[in-house]
Amino acid sequence: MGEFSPYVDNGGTTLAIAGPDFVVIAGDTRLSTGYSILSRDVSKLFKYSDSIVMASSGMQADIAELRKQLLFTIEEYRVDNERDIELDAFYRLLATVLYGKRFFPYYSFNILAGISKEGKGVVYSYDAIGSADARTYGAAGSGQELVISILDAALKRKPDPLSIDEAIELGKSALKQATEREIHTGDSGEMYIIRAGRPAEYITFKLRKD
Amino acid sequence: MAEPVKLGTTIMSVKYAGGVILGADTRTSAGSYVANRVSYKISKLSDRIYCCRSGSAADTRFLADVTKTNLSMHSSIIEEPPLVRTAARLMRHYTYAYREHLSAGLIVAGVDEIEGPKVFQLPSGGSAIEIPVAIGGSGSTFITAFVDANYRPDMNKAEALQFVIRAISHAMDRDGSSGGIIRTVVIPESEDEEVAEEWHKTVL
Amino acid sequence: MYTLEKKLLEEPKKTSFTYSERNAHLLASSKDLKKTFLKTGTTIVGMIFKDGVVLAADTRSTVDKIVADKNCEKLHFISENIYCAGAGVAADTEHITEMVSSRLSLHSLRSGEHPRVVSAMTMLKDHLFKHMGYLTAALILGGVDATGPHLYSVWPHGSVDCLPYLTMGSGSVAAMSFLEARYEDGLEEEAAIGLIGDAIEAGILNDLGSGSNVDIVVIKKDGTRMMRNVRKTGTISGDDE
Repeated sequence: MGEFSPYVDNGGTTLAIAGPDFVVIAGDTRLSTGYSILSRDVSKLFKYSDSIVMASSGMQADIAELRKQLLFTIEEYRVDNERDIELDAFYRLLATVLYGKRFFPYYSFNILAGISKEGKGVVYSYDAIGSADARTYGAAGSGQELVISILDAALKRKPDPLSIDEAIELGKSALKQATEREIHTGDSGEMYIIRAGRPAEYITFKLRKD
Repeated sequence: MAEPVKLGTTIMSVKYAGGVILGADTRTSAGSYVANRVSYKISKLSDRIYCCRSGSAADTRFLADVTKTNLSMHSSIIEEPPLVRTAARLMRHYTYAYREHLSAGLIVAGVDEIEGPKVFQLPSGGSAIEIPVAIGGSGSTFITAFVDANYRPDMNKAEALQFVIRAISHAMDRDGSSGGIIRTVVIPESEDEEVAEEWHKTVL
Repeated sequence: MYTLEKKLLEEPKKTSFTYSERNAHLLASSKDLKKTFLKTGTTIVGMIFKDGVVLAADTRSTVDKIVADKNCEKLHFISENIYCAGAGVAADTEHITEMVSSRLSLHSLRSGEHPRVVSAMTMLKDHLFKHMGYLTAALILGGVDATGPHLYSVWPHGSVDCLPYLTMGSGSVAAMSFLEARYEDGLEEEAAIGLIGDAIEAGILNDLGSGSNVDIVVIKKDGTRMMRNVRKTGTISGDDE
């Protein structure tokens, strides 16, 4: 008998890029184990509201459980405070829920994107046990190394402010590049474009299927 | 390293009144994958001596090839067809010398002019025993009692062939690593009768 | 300090024939070099058809999860009338086929005839058997010689299968499903190329170790036709469509 192994890596890549008054967050839709594709159409994005979207890669079952636990807690928050949760509280909540399983972590790597109270685009990037920090861009999952270098090269020393069209194209292109070289990423991509005071816009794009 | 290709197998050989019969299934697996569903697990060593192979496909093919070569050289020197005993001894020499590196369970069977029909079992480790009926491979565990209960040394050719086919059919039915069809080689004692290599469907 | 050194200092005069501790130490302290080897997580297929043999392969080569080459060649030249498709460690498949190719060319220079497929098969299997599975090469060897068309698969430990249709590599299960469903004796060339393309395509799409394009080589009595990138399965399903 094999040893009990509670974790499975379902692969996939996610990323988010923040601008002055917007943020885009994207991921691929391939679900895999080892050399097998389990599905070509499973979303890694979780839209909580028009200003809060979370992208998760890692183990699909743990991610589903994590989302459920978040929704439970948010419901309690709503009843107790009689208002909806906002980005800064969501960010703390996710960190707390993840740390709550410090010694049997959720196998999930999360990126949170949203619009802050001041109307600015924000990206939070987490590790599996709830260490998080705010950034202007981030990437996670099986293609993290590839995507993060693309984003670094494009954004680290960019002199002029990033436009929303540039961010969308950069996000799409980074996922396509990752698909070219990383076997667990592919099939199709999806993206939320989040702007202050506007409904989040959802787009999809094709990726290689091999 | 890649998973070695194994003959998860049912093989057997019986003496009957007038010769020997060898039988085998045809499944070759690499892990849970059936790499070949019509493989040959019975190899020729000389005109009237054959062997059944179980264990590593590569190792047993190597043993059969080496034994065949040396047996043929020996036969040229003595200017006589080889004895089954000699073939078994030769093969035992290799299974013993390389016992640490090999995974091979073999059955050597055939007929010769001096000793008549003979069946030798060569389990892994380098031993060899002469017995009237030999079974081997992962499937053999399922048919030990069947063979014990139904084997008779006085069976004629048709009865013995039917016995082999039934035994291997039962093993293939229960053992996941055995399957496909049944290949048999009938080696009659009489010079006038031809050696018959045939295949059969399972009978259950 | 390493356990081994400590032990040697404690018992400086004793000689031990058991180097297991040293081996364990070496194993633990050395980085796993094997993981950096180029592997061709692969789909390869071989098929006998009416007029000869056809071999095919995908073109992805990987190091762990990263694609190292998007358009590599897995169909190796052995001689004019013999080709070999390789899966496993790229270096092993390339060197072993080159070695056999060079030995066979000398062979046929002496004999003045095209080499036989069995000769190539025997050289490959003897070499692999000698190295006891440490050479990770899973090969499908095909060709046409004076005795007709031949097709063999040679496994890393040195075993051989001889069948009318064969697949190997991580995508072999996906490819085999097509062959078991559609293969029949005496296929026409056109149909054989179509089926083998579909089989490789199944590997490209369903096995993450295989990807990009389909390469096919058709070997007939009157000549050999090598066709690179017959289908570009990996890219056409993307945005370029």
